[in-house]
Amino acid sequence: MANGIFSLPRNAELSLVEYITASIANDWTGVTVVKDFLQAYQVPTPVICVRMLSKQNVRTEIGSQLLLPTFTFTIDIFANSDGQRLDLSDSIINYLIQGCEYFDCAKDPSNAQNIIYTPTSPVTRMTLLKFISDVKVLAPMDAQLEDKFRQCITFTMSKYD
Amino acid sequence: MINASITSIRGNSIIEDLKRLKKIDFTPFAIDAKVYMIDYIETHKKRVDKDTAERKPGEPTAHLRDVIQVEVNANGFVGIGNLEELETLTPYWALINYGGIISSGPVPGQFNGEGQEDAFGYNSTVNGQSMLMNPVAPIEPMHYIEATIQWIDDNFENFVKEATVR
Repeated sequence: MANGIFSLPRNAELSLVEYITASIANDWTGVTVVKDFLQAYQVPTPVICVRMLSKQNVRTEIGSQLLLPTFTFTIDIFANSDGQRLDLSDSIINYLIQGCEYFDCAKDPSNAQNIIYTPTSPVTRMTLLKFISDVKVLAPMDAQLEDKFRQCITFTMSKYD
Repeated sequence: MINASITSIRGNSIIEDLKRLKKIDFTPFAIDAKVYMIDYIETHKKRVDKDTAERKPGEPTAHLRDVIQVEVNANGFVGIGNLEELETLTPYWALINYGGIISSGPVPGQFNGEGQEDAFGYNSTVNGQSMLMNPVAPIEPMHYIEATIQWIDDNFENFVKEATVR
């Protein structure tokens, strides 16, 4: 953590969470966005959980010292109904296609609970590379509400300077 | 049914043409993908294994590593893991992959604290009395299917290149 700014993957995850949170707040009401799977079970549905699963570092070209950071994210949707599950997943797909801005993130010195999002100069964006899966999560007949109407979207994004 | 696989390796029409022309056998690639999937599960699991043969009546299920298989249908489509078999033999496959709350009720498990280790390596007995675990916290997802799809994506092109050079 240099100068209080988080590492690149942490910034990438927080930037995506912030983007999804803002987009959902713009289009939906009563939907909570979290970034921890267990946290998703602690708030009432509908809940959207955004997490980074893994990261890959690929050389931009053979012999180059520059890496093209690629991140695999998963978004779990915990909906109240099957219809809401489909609507939310469609909204999220539309948000992701547009990509999002990458921020340098750091803790607020005056309040450690707050994150400060600083745009990079010049502005850096994260771009969707591909969808790995977008599936309904099969739940047992007696599943609790949280698990009853779930959708799991997995995809990769890359950060371009 | 090959369409019921949890991951399927399907080439696009170009690959299909290539396959007909060069007669690429995708089975070795699928076997590698299956090995990757099983390795991924084995290295990411959190509980000690219990020998399937030693399970008591009422304790269903086999190990995922024994049930996940490679299938090839008449059209050459290759898939890993048959949904029907998984549902029958390892109905917990989705819970392990996607996470969630166990709805089956108490299950045998490991305890921290005063539990004494039993013959299976579980410390699930207290004063000789067998105890069950009633998980209330959600199981965290392992995402072994998505990890394998990612592996397939990363390695498919190289496999086709190598196969066409041969």
